Amino acid sequence: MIFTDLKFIACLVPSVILFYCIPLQWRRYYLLLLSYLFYLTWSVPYSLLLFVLTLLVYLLAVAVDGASSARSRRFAAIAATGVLIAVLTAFKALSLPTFLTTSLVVPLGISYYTFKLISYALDVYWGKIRAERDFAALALYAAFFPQIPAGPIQRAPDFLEQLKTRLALGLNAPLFDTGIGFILLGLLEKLVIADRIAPFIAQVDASLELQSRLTILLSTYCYTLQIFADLSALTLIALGIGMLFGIQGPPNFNRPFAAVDIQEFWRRWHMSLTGWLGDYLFLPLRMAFRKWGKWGLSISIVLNMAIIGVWHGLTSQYLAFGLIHGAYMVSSSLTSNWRNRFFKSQKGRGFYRRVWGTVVTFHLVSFAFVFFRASSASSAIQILRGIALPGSAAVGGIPFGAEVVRSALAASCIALILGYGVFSRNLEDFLTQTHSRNLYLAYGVALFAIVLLGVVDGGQFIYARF
Amino acid sequence: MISAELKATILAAINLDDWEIDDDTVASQVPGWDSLTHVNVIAAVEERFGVLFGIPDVVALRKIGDLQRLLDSKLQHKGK
Repeated sequence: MIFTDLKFIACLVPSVILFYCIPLQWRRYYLLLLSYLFYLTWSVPYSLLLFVLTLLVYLLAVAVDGASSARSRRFAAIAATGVLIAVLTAFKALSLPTFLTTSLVVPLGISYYTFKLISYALDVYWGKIRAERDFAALALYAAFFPQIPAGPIQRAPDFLEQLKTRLALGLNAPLFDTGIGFILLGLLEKLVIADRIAPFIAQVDASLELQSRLTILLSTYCYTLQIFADLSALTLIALGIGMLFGIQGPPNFNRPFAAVDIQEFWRRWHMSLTGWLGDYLFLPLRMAFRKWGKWGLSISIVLNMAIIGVWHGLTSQYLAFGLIHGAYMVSSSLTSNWRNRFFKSQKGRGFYRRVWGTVVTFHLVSFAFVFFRASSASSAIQILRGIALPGSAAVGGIPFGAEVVRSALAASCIALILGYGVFSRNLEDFLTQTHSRNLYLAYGVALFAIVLLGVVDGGQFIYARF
Repeated sequence: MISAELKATILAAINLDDWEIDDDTVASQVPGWDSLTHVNVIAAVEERFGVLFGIPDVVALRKIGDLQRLLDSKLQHKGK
């Protein structure tokens, strides 16, 4: 069941109505039931896996909290994180066709809920929070259905606090209202933008050798914009559904295409994942290597970015994606002082730096996404060769006037505007800060566009497969 | 209250000539202090004051006042 599926929407509406009909103290249990029902429609055995992992982490976190010695605290924390990392890695590895004759299906949202549980266990171990004694609260944190398919990765202290405060207050009308806006905008981004770009990319990939250099280059830019629209849509819908139930999740994007360098890009792109890795992987690594100066910084960055890559899947192209970004980040961080000094001495060049930086960053990101898009490393090389080398005359290639190209380009332009910022604001801020009358007008326009221009059978979200 | 010595160490670690810093200032408000340079600041403070911070200490820092209090407690512990 995916968020754009009519069956899902048909189930969601009565679920929300019933949520506000039951007593306040029962609502968290009702949400837990809904979350497990959502997961059960996908897989019964994997629902059991989710439950067992949550129970294990619950017990180990209580053990960390009540341990009498530092050694037993450390043992319980290592056991919790070790089991979660082992399960995640095993499923990612066993899903590869090279390991088994029939590849195993990766459990829905395992990359997200294991990360949530790891951060919870480490937060308890580091003393940031006490272990949660209410098992239902922790189980809901791990299984909260809007965030299961593709995040955002909310932190335990934030979620558990909202269960105690916001959920106990009943209907939060402004939050509910914003939630509807987020869902509509998410549907618009998915059905009218991402799914209008997708057929162009699919056609190019299916007959790469027939396409001209320009077509392949255009598809490279379009893919960057498609993946932004697709993941941003999924996040908006997940956040919006959460808001309907009174839970506010963390933002995932903040105008990523306005970034002037690669460091800034990663502070604006998939923020809940990069923030998580920053706190639970990069910071410990950086602390461990802090005596090694710039070498320590470079090693920490490369390891961090490589893990961002393989978190998507244990394949050479995802590793290449991570390592390319690692190389970008190391070069950018090692030259940032020099660049800052240069532009400080060149008064009045700030504007040109911003424009140049934005364009270069977009191109660097698009280049790395070639490896993300390709089905194999050799296919990525084929795309890059198609752009770099003059090919034969593109007989049989997609003509520029074709509707699939025109639709993709129009949708890509809108994605670029949304990713750069609407009146210098991100989409979430735009919705939460806009006057309610204008907001309802925007809702109407969004709904009209979805009905008129939406792709009905566009398929699954890209990020739901991770 | 942030000591002049701590302030000078922080500013030197992020190559900043001067910046207004108080107890409630957070790293993101100081130019050049981001996730990549954060541990440079921590390592510079450790070296300047001869103390060692653990990962849980650093993870718990929210504002510069927290760093000052952490440093004071480490120095007090060292003096005993």
